Amino acid sequence: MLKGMTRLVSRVHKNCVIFILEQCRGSCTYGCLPWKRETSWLDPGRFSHLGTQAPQCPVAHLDNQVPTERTRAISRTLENDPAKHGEQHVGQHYNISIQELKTVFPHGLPPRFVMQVKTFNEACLMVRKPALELLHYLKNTNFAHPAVRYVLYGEKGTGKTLSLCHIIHFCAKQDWLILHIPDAHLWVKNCRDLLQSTYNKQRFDQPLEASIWLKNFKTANERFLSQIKVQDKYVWNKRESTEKGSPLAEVVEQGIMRVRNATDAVGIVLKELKRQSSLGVFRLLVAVDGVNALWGRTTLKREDKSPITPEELALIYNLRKMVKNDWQGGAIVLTVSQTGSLFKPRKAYLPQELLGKEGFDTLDPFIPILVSNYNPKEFEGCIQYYLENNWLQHEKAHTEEGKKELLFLSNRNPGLLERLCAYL
Amino acid sequence: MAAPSVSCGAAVPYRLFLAGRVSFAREQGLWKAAASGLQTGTRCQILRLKHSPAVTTTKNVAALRRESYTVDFIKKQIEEFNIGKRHLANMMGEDPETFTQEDVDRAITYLFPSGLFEKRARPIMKHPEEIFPKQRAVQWGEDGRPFHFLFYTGKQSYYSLMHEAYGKVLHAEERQDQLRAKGLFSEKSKSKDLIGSRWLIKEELEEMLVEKLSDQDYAQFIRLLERLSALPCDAAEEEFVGRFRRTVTVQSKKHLIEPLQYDEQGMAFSTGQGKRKTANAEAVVYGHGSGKIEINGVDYLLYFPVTQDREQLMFPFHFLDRLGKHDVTCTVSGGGRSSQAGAIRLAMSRALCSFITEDEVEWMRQAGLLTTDPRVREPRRERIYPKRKGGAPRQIFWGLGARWEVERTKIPPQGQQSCRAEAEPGCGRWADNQDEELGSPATHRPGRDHRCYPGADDSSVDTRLQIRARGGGLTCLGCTGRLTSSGNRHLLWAARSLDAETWHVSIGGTVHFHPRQGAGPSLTVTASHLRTQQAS
Repeated sequence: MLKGMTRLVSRVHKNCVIFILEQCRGSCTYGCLPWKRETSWLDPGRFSHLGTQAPQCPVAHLDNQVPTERTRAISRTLENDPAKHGEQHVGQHYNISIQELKTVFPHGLPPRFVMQVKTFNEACLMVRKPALELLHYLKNTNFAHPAVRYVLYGEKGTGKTLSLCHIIHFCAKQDWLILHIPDAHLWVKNCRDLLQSTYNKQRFDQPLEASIWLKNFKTANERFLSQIKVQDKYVWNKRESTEKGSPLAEVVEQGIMRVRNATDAVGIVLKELKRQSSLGVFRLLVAVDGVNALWGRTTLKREDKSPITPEELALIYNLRKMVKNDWQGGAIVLTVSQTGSLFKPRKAYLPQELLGKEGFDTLDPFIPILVSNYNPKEFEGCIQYYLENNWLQHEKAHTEEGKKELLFLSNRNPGLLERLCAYL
Repeated sequence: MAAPSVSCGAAVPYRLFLAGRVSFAREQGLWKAAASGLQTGTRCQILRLKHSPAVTTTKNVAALRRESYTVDFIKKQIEEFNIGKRHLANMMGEDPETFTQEDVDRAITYLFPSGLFEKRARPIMKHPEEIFPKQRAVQWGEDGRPFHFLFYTGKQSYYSLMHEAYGKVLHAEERQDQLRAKGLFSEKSKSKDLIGSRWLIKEELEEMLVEKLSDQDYAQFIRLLERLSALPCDAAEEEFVGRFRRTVTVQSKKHLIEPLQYDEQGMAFSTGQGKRKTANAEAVVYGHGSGKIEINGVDYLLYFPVTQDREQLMFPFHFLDRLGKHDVTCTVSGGGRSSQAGAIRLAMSRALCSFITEDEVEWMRQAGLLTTDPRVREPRRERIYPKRKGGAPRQIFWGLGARWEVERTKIPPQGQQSCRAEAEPGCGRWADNQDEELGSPATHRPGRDHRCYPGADDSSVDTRLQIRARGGGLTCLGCTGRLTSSGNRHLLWAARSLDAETWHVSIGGTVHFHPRQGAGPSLTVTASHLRTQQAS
């Protein structure tokens, strides 16, 4: 706080463009642009750009928002294919085009990230170590072996869901079939309409959730649905049935159109996919966010106010079968999260705590992958990204002290940092 | 311990009473009213006096003539005080010769423990000089001629002081001119006298002169003194000026800075403690680190999910530009989220003092980082009876809306155990019970909804109804007749069911129901929470 100005001046001195600075300051203080807003031209990276045009007044160049090479080198990478991401890309953002976003992620992105995409008009994900590790494992999977389960765990706001999205993007690019459940917690709470299951009287149907999920599933995996053929005959009711050998798209259509049968349609889809991925026709990725919901408690009650356990919900029951590693030809990537979980303490983040005994035993063995807060490089990259997009408007935000303050207040937690920066 | 102790004993109560009303002469009338009441009564009458309107209303003060203490009276008080002090020392088993005022205070708090929140209302025993406001002796002689030549200015002490000061100023200027004429004039700095001390404030000066001053008078006087102190003075004048100055302690010199300690690895660390409201924290700040803070073994991000608390923790480091340079481990207990954050902040600032320069410590102190926050939760009395402007008292009623519990006590003739039956007021069978029991005192049925205690004897002669108010009842003391406010519906209901024509409420919370002529016995009702409070 006390030595801020001296630091700025010393930084300028290193780049030997004090002359430029003085000129700019003299002309810009009362000029067209408020220089507190122009964070970019005070950055050290800028001066290499301005230095080549020393004799002219650089006022005109302040209009350009083009970030220079140096800042881009920290925060962005041009490598947009997740398959080619490596250690050197850690801390950098890569771009996903909007069309790809619509097809690959009809659901599943965290809501705040969706807002950010809308604001910045671009979708950029940061490449991080846990995701890279998982990508490495996935690239080296042996599809003849049973599906390996990977569990992403970590404290709140560290980036588990976005790492999962990174993996999903990779698998989509590699032409896998993505079975993505965006948030399993949504299926165990706040369900308005619970119907008794048509298939099994003991269980309950959730038509709304199932139909929404089917719609999104269809959007994500359009091309596969016509290729995969159903291997059993399914009778929906007296008038409708699906014959053996018909494409899976029909089942999905049936589920979307007849909302009553949506849950059963989901069950059928899951069963078929599990059966057929072992045959090697396609590779299946099962991605569940908040898998600890499958073994926790629900807030749903029957008419007589007795609580419902998760296995009495048909969706959860079928999903549990999916998450078992008794099939080949794919991988299962899971996330455990406390946010949205029911009856779990705030500070719990380890798989054992969140899954409970039953869940842990079911999922055992799995590969745990810890997602932690940003390391300094990633933090720097994130801040640079925000600065480039002019998201941080505070005049101190680009200074070292400002960065230190943000670092302290958020303790390098990505979620918190994002929320803090939203106010600046 | 005959007369002197009695006087000591009597001295204490009215000093007790006075404690709240000391310091200015205009309160004398009040004291006199109290004293005249007190000399007749005992201690409980003092409490009575507190409640009676005569003391608390202001109009009676003006009506009374201003009394002044005579010199003899004050002398007698001083003698009594000294003797009383010796007796107190004897009582406490201490040596009367070396019994200081602090010992007196301690003894009084021990002998008369008081839970009153207002510290000035507690019993004190102090020298009469401190208790009785300073009075001016009679200013004129028997012939009516005043003694002082400035008496008719109205503020004789003030003007005489000004006169004296101005005389000294003239004298000093004259001397200065003489020195200049001789060529021996030299500039002498007087600043060393003035640093570390301040002028008297107006109240202190008024107290010294025993006279009321206006702001302009005071300002004039201070200007004159400053003018005097600016001139070269000799010792007598400096002593004169010194009488009107008080020393001011420099705050920061009080603060001790701990030296750095080193642990086994050679890492420098320092500890500090902090408090805020009811939270206590202890912090250990290490010299080199990456800005990690651990609280009770948990990372500070998890311990304080609220940004505001983390900003509080950031403040000392950010102020000193040392973000990310120190590691901190702290333990905290008590209080809530915000007070724990404040306590940790204070502890960290104090620990950081060992790592920084003196100037930075002074800056921190000025920023308020090293000061314990004195704010605590207000005592309940202040929240319920807030102080009002003008000192007008406010009537407070306790506990509106009582839940009345009917308790019937049968008074057995020879003191045997009584049978108690309790019934809900709204149960509807109350009237039946009453008829039964009043009519035939011998019967009670265990099957009805009242409880009977074992060992009860049915033969009773007298029936007395006791209606107890649970959770407080409302009534107006001294009222009789019909009261229609909702809080008194219980009384109304009780009266109706008891067939009482009128009722009368007396001090102490007893309600007497008077039935119609010949209808039944008169009934007494005690409501334990019925009372009226007068708030000051």
